[in-house]
Amino acid sequence: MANLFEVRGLKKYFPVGTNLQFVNLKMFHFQMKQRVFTKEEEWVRAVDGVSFKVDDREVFGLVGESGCGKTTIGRLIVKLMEPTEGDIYLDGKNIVKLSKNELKDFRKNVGMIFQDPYDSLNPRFTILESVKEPLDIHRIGEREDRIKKVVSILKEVGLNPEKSFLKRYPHELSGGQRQRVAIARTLIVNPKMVIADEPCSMLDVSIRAETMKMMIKLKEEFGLSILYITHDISEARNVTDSMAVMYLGKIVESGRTDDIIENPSHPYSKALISVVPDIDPDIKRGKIELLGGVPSSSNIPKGCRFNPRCPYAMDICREKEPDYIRVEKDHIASCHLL
Amino acid sequence: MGRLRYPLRRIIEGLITLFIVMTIIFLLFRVMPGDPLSIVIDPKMTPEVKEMIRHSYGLDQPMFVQYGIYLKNLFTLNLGESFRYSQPVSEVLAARIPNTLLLFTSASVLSAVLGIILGRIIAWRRNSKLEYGLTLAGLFFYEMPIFWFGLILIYLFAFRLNLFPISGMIDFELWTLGATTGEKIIDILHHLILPLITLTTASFCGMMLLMRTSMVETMKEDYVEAAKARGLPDKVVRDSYAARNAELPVITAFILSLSASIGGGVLTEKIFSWPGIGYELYQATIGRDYPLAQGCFFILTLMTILAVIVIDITYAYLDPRVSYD
Amino acid sequence: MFKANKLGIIGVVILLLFLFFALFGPIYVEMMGNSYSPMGGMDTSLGINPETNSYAWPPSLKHPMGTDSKGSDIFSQFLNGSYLAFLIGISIALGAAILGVIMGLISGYWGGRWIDSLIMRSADALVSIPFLPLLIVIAAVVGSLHLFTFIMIMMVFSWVGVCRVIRAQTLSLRTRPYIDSARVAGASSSRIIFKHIAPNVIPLGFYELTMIVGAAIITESGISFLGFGDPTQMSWGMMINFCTAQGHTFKAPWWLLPPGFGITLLSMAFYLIGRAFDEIVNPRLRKME
Repeated sequence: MANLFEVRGLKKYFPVGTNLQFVNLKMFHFQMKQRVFTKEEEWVRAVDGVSFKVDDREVFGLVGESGCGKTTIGRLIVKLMEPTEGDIYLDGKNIVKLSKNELKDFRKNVGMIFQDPYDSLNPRFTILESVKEPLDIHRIGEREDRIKKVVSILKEVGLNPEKSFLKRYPHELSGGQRQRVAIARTLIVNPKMVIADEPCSMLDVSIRAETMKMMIKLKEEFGLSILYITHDISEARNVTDSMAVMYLGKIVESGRTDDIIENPSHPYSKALISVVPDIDPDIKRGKIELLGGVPSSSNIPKGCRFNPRCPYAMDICREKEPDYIRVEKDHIASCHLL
Repeated sequence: MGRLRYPLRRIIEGLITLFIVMTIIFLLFRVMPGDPLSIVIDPKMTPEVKEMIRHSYGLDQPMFVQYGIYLKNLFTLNLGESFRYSQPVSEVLAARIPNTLLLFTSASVLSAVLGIILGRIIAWRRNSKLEYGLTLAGLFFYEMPIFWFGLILIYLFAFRLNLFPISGMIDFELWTLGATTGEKIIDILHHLILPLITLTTASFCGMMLLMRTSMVETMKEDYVEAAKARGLPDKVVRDSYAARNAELPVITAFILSLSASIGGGVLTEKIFSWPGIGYELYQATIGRDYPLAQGCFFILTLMTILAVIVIDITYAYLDPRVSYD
Repeated sequence: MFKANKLGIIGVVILLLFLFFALFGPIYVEMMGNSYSPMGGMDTSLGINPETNSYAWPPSLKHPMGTDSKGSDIFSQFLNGSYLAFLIGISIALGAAILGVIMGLISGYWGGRWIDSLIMRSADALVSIPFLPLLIVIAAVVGSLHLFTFIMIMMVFSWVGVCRVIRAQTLSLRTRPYIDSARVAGASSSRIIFKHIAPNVIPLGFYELTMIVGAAIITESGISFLGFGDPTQMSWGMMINFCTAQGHTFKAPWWLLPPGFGITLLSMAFYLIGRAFDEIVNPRLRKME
């Protein structure tokens, strides 16, 4: 299957402390180059060397607790931020440096659904205006056609009767409906890839399932790939084909979702999966409780970054970062135990 | 070092601002119609003297040489000679500064204190007759033209009721005939009252209104509700909780209004013939005493900038949320 | 619209009253003849008032606000002054508002970058300049200030307040998800600024705008009072200046008082309206009922 999308060695570091802010922009870049190589502990290493691939029509999950860097990756991919290092490829083309025209084209190809349905639509825009906007921006079709397109996409996302929604405002809609509008707005330009940043975490539990189902259906219909970011591994299990588990800025395990759920190799993945209740009373996973909380990303532990909380930590874990070991076909993890 | 950094930075910024302002003035005078020389030359001077002065100001030389001379003069406080007084401008100014400071600082302090106190009292009793009444009255005195108010005060209290002197800062007779220091002080204070009231009223009303608005916003905050729920006495909640935080935006707004206050000060000094910088500015302008006029402006700008810096720094210390980067 | 805001209604009433005055002026002169013209008209039928030693007479049926020392009708001057006050106040406020909004949007949207620093530093510099003394100094060189010049200069100095308010609000809005969403959809910066941020932000500048009107009217009266204003316009400030210059400060209260009240009441009206509007529109204040 074609490789639609790839990330290689992606890094994003944020400066910490007020000293750097004192310096003006030109010098800042200077200093930054120095500091990345010399005093690394001065930076928040939100994303610390991440690589993965997403195939055509695949739903790829990015799973981890808050602070692991998954949202940052999402924002880097849609170019709301520039990476500190690394490359991002869409359809074989490196999108890190784009000209103005290329950027506009890119925006048609990659869309994003945000976490907060209550704030991702402009409260002063009607639904029609919000969903129509991408068409206006990219000048797709004639004016009348655009309205028709909006109506048809609202139907696709299940907002019935479509015409009645056009003149309404976001505050008149429920959270679930708003998220559908957001999805409609993203899909109306026929993107190749959509980043979904915790799309269900602010929705009522009861409607999460239908939202996820709708997203899968739309994926098939529109033939796109989805990067599904979530902290909830059970969501990932339901919706993704492959996934990557992240911890403190690095991927600790990645592969086909079924493989990982069945056979988690990294202690962190094991812990995450163990706390998910299973409807089958016979399956007993045995909860693995982790000690301590997630450390701050400006103070990443030496060696394997998971070692302070790992129940199996050995001496080598505190010294050296583990390499990625191939556990099975299309399934890798980084742990000294393997 | 962090705590010192901010004031230092503000002072440097202030100096830069002063520099920019005086540059603008320099350009202004060169750009305006009229002989740039008229700024420093007394029409009564002979042609030879005029030439000498023209040369010493470099007016027969390129612009940036003039600029350099201008700046040098400013920094050495060589502000020229006043035509009317035949004294160096700096001397005239030095004599007048204390008078203006006396009036201005007492007015500022008084209006700040009164404004904040009354403001929070009013805001506390929302929708009461007192609130409406005081708000309207306060607004009236705030929007009133200062000079008009001053004239009315003079008419009522000096002219009609003879309670206060009509103008000036001192009673010449009293002073020349030998009065004790105590009597002199009382005399000054006596003369100070009407101008002080004039200058303070508008400012204090402004602060009061601002404080009221600010309090209204602060009072909605949860921590005020919490304090009330804990059973703290009304006055404590009002003063220690709500007002403390409400004061902050008032101080910011005060900075913005400083420029207007100085203007008000000029008008007040003119009306009461209070011998301060503002009064001299007016007289110098009327009398075409350009060096003195420019010098007065320079001092007033300096005062404004200083006041802004002081308030800025005070605010930074008062608001724990501001970081001293 | 919560017209129940009593103070706001008072403001509107006063505003309408003075608007009427402003518009009625020319009609009044039409009605009463040229001797009632605000600039230079004189009632030649009047004799000298022994109490004032001039042609200044207290209010009468013929002259509802009396006459000044030259015999000119004060009511007519008052009406004209109202018209000038509106003209000056609104033009300065509009100009300053437009400048302020644009600066505020740009400054807020690119907050932290060089353009923001530039604009904010300029704003700080402007605030540090004492305005009235500056006008005096300019008048010293130029003579008296033509009205147009005054309006232009004051516009340049008045945009700061609006700019700060707009900037603050823009700064807080630009991190909202729907702005990110627009950006991801491909919206250009100008589109985001003008279509997404501006409509949410401009109403908050309205209060500042009304404050500027008041400040403009008062400043103009101050400059005119000192004698540096436009001599061809009989504004309220000019009236007071005239009265004092002619030595009638204490002799003719009917001459001294109306212009002062005019300035005060009209400025009050704008303030009250601005305040009422702000309470409706400002999300921070709306909570308080």
